[in-house]
Amino acid sequence: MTIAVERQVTVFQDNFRLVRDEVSRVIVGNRDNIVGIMTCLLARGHVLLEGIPGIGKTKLVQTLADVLHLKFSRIQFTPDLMPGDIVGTTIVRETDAGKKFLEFQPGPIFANLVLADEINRATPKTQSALLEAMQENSVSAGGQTHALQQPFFVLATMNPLEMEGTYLLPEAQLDRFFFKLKLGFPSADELNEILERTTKTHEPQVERVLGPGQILEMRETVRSVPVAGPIQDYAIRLTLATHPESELASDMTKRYVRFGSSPRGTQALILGAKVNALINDRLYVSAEDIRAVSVNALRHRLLLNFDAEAEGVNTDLILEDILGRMRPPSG
Amino acid sequence: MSDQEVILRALELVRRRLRLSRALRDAAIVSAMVAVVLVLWRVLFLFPGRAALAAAAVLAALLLLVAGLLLLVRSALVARCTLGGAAALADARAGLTDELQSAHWFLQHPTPSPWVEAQVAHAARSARRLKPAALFPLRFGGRGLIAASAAPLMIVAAWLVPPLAPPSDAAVAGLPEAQASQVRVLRELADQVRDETTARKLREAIAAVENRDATTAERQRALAEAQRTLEQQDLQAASAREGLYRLADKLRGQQRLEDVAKALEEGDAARAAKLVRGMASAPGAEGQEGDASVEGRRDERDLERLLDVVARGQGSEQSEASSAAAKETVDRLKEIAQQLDTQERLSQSVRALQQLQLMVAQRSPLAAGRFGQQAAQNSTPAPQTGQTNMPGGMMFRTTAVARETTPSEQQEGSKTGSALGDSRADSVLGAKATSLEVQLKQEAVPDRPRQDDRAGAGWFYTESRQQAATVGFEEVRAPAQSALGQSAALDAVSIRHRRMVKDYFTATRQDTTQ
Repeated sequence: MTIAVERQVTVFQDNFRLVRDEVSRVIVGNRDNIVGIMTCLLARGHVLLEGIPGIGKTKLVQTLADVLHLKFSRIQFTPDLMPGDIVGTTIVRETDAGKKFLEFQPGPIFANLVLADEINRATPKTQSALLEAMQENSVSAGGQTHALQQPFFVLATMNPLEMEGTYLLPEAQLDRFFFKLKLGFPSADELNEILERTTKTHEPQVERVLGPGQILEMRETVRSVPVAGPIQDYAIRLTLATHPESELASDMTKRYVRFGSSPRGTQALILGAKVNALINDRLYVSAEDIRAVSVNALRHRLLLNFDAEAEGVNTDLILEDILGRMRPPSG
Repeated sequence: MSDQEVILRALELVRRRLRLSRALRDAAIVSAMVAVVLVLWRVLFLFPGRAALAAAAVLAALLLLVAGLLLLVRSALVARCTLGGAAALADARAGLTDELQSAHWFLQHPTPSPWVEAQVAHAARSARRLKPAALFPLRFGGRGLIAASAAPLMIVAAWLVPPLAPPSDAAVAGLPEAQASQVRVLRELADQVRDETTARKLREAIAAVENRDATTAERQRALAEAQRTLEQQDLQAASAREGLYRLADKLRGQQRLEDVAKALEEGDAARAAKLVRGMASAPGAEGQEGDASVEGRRDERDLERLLDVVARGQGSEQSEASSAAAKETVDRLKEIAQQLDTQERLSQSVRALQQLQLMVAQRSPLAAGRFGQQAAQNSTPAPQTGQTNMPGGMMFRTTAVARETTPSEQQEGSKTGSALGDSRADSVLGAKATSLEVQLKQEAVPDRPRQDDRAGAGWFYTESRQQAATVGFEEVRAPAQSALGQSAALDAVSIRHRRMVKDYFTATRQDTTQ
């Protein structure tokens, strides 16, 4: 039985490595973000990518879709985008006999991998069209609920610079993203590599190394990883420490945080830690795994107050402070 | 051995190791606390005069010790080393990223899962490789090491430097050891001396020194009084010795009193008294009370007369008068012998008193650092003496002053002695005054007794040489107020000149011999 588990872990790691290496053939650097996206995919979550324009957000998602052999659709969010443009609409069709009937025409959300590009440019009404799909993996339209094909994975991108003509994402929708990943600007070497790969005659091509069935198996593997009580307690304490009214809250939390993380944040911590444990060849979750995913999992779930905005304090700083002060599990 | 047993055994070993390490650390801390209390006790031992403060400090130290011990016990109870805690520490030390801790938790909370079994099996493999002795070496830790090394050092320092010694009475009274030893000498003398006035003056001086509320001036005054009394005793003893010698000189011609004269010449009054008693106890001589006419005659002329009576009364009818005179002579000689015996102790006591005066003037137990800062209270404030009042500074004399080689009339404050300028000027005697020593020689030392002394003086009163000398030196006391300033009491001769007077009297016998 132990051998079976270890074999399962080995398969998981091999598949994970395959995807990561294949994506890295096109995407320069950003290995942490590739791992983060994969973590969200395997933990049945969705990811919000934040980065300046031209940094390769869309390219990353497209490459991932190519590698994973999944049905990919891209939705470019604009202010005039309507919910029906995302989920689909019911149209009147006519049979050969001349009988008319209503037929649901699925929108672009009916795919395995959905890229919601510049999600903050659509109105909140349109943004909320994603809510049900992301949480329930289903779409209700025309009085009918349509299940989404698994794996269903939403990758939304957001530009942090251009705020004009944008709509901030509702808290409820932000909370539905498993991770929020920030894509940093590439270094000089990475820029050089990007130029090498993209300005020549032949651009690197990727192969499809993983299918939906393998991804679902990997998801099952992730869920099987056990978590000991002290480690789970550590994740809970970490979540509670983001709440200013909690006894575990640090001074920084009390001063700058208006609302702390939701229970989804704790779920994200545990599930992300499980993936991280498997990646690092562990059959159990450690506090180290919790710490490794905590910033990505909680940074978009903390609502800061005016003092934090005035003083330029962001959620990453607060989470680093909490992690530094948090007592490790001690049996 | 199952995986579970392997893990639990390894964790038990780690826990034992941790307990041992903690016990060592606690022992080091406790020893350091005990050492601190002992050092505090030793430090307080050096200041025994502050009894209330010492008691409070000792109580505080003991409370501190008890509180520290309670804290240690509490921390030991709170931080009780569980197997889970041991697993967490072992994970941290061995870099196992919570593997043993998770395995221990899974063992405590069994879950039927192949993943859990796999994890426990993996943890058991890690536990087999675990070496608790290497992971947890028996170290004191930072604080423990400091405490363990500081404790013996503190104890050694407390017990060896300075060495332990029981506190003396004076020390109990809060005096420094230097003063205490001087006070001890004076107290012994006060207990032994027969003269009540001297004993009272000495006790007053001791009380003034030991009284912490007394001012410096009061202490100085009491010490000066005691010193004057002691010096008076010293002078009387010297006078008695001188009188014995002169009496021996007079008796030398009488055959019967030859042995007595010899004993008196040697200053052995006790032997002389024994000889006189032997003469008086000869046949025909019976002890009787002395008549009123001879009582109270306490000089060498009385003794001479009494000895003459004793010598003439041998074997004659005048035995009654002779025996009375002999008894009085013996008593007188015994008294003189006692005076001479105490003379040596008196000079020692005078030195002790002088040391005490110096200490009181410095208001410090001869601390070296005080010498440069002290204001000499008895010295005259004048630029020549280096005792100018300079707020915020100290004047140092840089000009070299030539030492006088020939006698010259002293100018006020001009004679400085050493060219370094660190000598005190002589007391001001006035431009016309001759030196005190010369005046004493001129006025108080008649070379020989006048021939008509015995004929002209009445037998009930004769001015003794000592009395004449005393009158002499009182007349030539330094007239200037600056000289009085050097003395502790306003109506006394300068302390420096008292030694001259005393030396004069003690040297009288030598001068007479020459």
